[in-house]
Amino acid sequence: MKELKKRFPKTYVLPYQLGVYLAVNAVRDVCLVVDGLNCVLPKADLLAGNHDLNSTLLSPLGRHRVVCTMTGPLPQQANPEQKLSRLLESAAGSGEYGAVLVTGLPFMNLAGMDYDGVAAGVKARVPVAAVPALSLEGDWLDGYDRALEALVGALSARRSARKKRSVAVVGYMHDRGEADHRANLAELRRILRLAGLEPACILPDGGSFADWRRALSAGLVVSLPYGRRAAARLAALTGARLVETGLPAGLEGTTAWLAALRRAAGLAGLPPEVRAAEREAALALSRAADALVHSGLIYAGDPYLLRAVGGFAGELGMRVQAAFLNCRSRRLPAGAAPPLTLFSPPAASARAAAAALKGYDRPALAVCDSFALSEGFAAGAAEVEFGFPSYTRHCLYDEPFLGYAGAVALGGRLLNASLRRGERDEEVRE
Amino acid sequence: MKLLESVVFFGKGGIGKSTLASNVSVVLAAGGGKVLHVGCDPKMDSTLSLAGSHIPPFNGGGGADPEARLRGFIRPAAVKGVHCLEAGGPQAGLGCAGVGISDLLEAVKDSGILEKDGYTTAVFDVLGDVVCGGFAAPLRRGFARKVVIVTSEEPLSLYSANRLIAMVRNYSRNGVYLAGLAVNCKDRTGAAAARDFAAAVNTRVLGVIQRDPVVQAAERRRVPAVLASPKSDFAREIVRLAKAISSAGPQAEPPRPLSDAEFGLFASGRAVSRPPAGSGRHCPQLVPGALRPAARAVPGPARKSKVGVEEAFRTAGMTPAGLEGGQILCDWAAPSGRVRLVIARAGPATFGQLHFSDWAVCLHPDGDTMRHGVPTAAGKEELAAAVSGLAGFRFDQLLGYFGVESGFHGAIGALGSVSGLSDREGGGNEPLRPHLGSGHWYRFFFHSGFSMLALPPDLVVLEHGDAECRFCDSSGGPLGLFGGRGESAPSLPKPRPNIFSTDLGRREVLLGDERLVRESLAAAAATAGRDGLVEFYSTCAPMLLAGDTDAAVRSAAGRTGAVISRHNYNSYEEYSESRARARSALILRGLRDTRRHGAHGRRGGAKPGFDVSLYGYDHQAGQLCALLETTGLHAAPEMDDFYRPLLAARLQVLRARDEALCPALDKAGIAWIAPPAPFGFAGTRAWLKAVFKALGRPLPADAPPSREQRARLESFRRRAAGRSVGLVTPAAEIEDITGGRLAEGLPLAAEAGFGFKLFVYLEETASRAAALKAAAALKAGLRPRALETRFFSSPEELARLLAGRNGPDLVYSDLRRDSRVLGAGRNAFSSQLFEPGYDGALESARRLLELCEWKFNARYRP
Repeated sequence: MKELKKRFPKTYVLPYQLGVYLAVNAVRDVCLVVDGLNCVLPKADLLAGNHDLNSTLLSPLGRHRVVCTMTGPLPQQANPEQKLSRLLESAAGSGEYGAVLVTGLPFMNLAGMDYDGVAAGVKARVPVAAVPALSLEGDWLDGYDRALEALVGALSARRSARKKRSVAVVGYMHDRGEADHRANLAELRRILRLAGLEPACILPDGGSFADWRRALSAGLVVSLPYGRRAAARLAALTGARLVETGLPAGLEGTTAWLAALRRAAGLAGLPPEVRAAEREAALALSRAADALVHSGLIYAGDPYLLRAVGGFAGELGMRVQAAFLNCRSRRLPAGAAPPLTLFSPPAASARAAAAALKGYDRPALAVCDSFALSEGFAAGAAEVEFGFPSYTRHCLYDEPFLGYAGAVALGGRLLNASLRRGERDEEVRE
Repeated sequence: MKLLESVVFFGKGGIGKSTLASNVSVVLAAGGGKVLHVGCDPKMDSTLSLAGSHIPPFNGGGGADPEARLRGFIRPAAVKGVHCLEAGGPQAGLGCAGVGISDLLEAVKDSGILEKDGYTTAVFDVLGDVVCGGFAAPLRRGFARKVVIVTSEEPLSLYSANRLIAMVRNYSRNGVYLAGLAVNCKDRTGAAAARDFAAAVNTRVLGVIQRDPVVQAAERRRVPAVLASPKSDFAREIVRLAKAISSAGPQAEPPRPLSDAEFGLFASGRAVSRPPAGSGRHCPQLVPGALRPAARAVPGPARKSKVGVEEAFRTAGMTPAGLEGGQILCDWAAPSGRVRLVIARAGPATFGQLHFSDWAVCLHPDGDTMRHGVPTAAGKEELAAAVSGLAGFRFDQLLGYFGVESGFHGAIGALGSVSGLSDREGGGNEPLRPHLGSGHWYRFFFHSGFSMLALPPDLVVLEHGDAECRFCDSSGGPLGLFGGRGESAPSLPKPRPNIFSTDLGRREVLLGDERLVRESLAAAAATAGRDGLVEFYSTCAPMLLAGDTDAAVRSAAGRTGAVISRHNYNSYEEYSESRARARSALILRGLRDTRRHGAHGRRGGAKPGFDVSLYGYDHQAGQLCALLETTGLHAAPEMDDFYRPLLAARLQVLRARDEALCPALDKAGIAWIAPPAPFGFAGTRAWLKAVFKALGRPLPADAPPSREQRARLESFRRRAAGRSVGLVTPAAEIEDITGGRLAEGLPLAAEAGFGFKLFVYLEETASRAAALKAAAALKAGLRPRALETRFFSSPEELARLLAGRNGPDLVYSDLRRDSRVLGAGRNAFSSQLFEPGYDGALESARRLLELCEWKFNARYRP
């Protein structure tokens, strides 16, 4: 089987529709109709329950928010759009949802289904929008962005009075409704206010689709990397200014993010409260930084978190030795890619590459998602389970990873993991 | 500048679309516009005369700067004001050209290039017959608004035009309308037929272009004819056509395509008359009596009684088996034997279907070919006679048999297979999982029996599918909706080392997957080796592409001597007869090879080293090995091998019968049994007895349970006095409680001293007496301390019963954190609580009691 494994490896990349599911999971009253067979449903298990304890994507009563049409590839006859139209009308008219999305499996895309047209043709109380069926071209990050974009497109165009300091943050990766994200959202709102900005909304934030209307009055749309298309569409819809940023992670990273937002909002400098918050967080982190400096780190997950984690690691005097990215190849900002960076690598290759880091290059820490950890990418380094999916780490209490508070919490996780590993190594030596 | 016009040309192949479209583009540009001429035909000849040579086709978007990439494929024509773009496509007979067109148009839309670059007109020239939705991509939202159908006077060309009109009607939701017909005919007389057709379908003729030798001459020079011969009749007609297209707006009453029957009559020149000039009527008039509408069954009267439907099914000799894709599956006891039927909401008549009321019936398609069987003439008559008893019911009433609720989730539930037995996830010896989208509010347990499925490690499973397919069986996990104790977290698929995915990508879809199929099959067959087995599964996208997989199978099998079986869908976790047979042969070969080369506990002709080997018990195997040891039997230890344990013991004890493994064991002379699972004291004793009997030995007198174990059970029984477990079921499914996994643990609960409370969903029409009879049978079988039956007919009533003072202590539910149970302040349990063996029975009883005393959910009701 060795040759066959080499020819058809198990690759570390997540599919497009999983990203669509994540976006749907992040808006509590959105229903997704997937045109295809029921093999689309087990994928929801990768998210609901196992990764997100509070997910409502699947329901014990069978009232799932991801459903399928049971349309198969054969026979192709009559007009399959009619059945779909009826279903969408039924979903949109059920009163259960704030918005309905529709997409299809790749084979339905081959059949040329006009999802956009079908969705637009549905007359109902709530909007129905199509997420392009791009599974053959895109990965989960594309799916997430496309689904957010479809939801933005479902907002009825209304050019209302925009407030200069009001900010809509679009493209937040709300991959679960647990306390890590709850704390992140609270922290983002806190630091925006510290910077003299008024958070209109963070999209998505686990709330209902009706909450998205708050974005229409924002004077500034902040485009986070997970929702570039969605942010651009929102800015085009409302006429708001658009600023593309990375994630507000680490100390300097968060301050730089806030400064960029203020500049984009036409405001000068940063209020002293921001510097004070940065300094306070730095004090909390200083002992951890002493312990972590010079440590090497392996990262496995999405490229946007890589940039955030990498930047923060650099602030703490750590270095990212290798990055394994669970998506198709993307352009990374200058300096964001460590010397060894692999996009959607075969699991065996990533494992071997990690294991080959020896001597002084041997990483102390592995910041990885569950798939990477279970595939052995950590290569013996202390494991910090992070990102989507996280199957063996759930957050029942506030534990952010963005903003100043997130930097402190994440620094604490890195420190504790590295100390545990130190103890373990000691035991081995004894 | 705003895009003013977007026109798409359709028409039968070879009718002159590209000629007309490219010349119209020239005329539109000559009027001061800027035209993007988009060729949507894999032949890539639309822009030939405009550009003077073939231009490179668009070959996919993406990359760091997709807009710049798209611009790289847009070439200026030799004509001022016209730019050209070709969608391209695969070699004839391969791939899917429609995808290429869709991709190109998505890229155009995404980039906003039409607006950014100031085009005033976009002209789309689409290949001959629109065979799939991909070729209709220009009619999607945001692209073409006007459609021009090019036709000649010939019947087949008009027939094609008629079908295209139906397509345009379908896309009218996107603001698309038919501007009219462009008639490219041999001579003036031919135009009359086209005009008649236009009148019959209520559209206009935008222009009539006669065949002109200047066109051929110009095309030979790769120059648009309007430029090559600007003073020709052809050029004058094209200018008129372009003007007519520009001025054509949507009609007040849109065109209406003829039905096939109407078209047949039209073509014969008899059936359709044009409305009199000036009559103000636009619709075609059918000559009275000339066309008799196809006989259509009238929906039957609305019958209310569910019993009526049940009786009607019974009388017809049919047993409803479930729902699939919104269709009813039922088994018909035909005179020639048992036949599976599909009853579906009536659509257009299909060969082999019989129509009744608002539904139709036909034979179930073959699992692998997905072709619907066609009954013989005699069979058709028998079927018609049998089904006629159901003719009085509407389809929704037939659906009502399955208790499908109304509304969106009911509709979704009806689309799924609510029989709940079709989805197996997580591997061979996992329990069957219910379908997720059941839409059944009352379902608390699913009839998921325990089945076995052997995937021997030397079997090569090749799944020909895309990334979504790769993740489609990756469910499970301890916290999933159906997850539970002992399950591990989801892992990166494919989780098994002998299952491979070809990771079909866009490139293969566009250009054809022949090479990928050939190479993957060759590699898989080489790995399997002579007489090895490769199972090749085509998933949905390859099924739609319909490449010549059989040739690749023959070639790979011929070269390597491997056996390659080909299937549709990635159904490797289900047995079909042929699949079980092939796997069985492979397992037999593996057993013989392992025996020849020496196996653990058995070398050459030596006797097996152990009495018993357990197969399929997974994490419960350790407990059972320990139990067997207490009876003096030696159980083979766990081995990281598929074949060696099967040869290591005198007797194989299987968790359940396996359709492939068992015949192989028989042929290899290996004794096996598959006794009922050892749950509860009585169940465990029966299991041990079965094992000893198969070994030809009596169960020792001092075999467990020990006195201490008995005493502990008695103590649990005392603690359980007055406690009860609740079972919620529809009346029709009471008997099913004694089947499936639930049945394995219920006797244990009875032994442990729990009473049962049966909550029966009873529709008005269902028979209470029959339900009570079934409940009495259940009681006789389980022998609990008490069995009380309560009826309910709504979710609210059930909630009251569960939460009431006389409610059960625990409620069985296969669903994690079942809100109906938690909402009632009760704790739920499922079959995953039960452990095998005597100690397992005691642990299970302790868990049940712990749950009874656990107040968290009652105190903090969700």
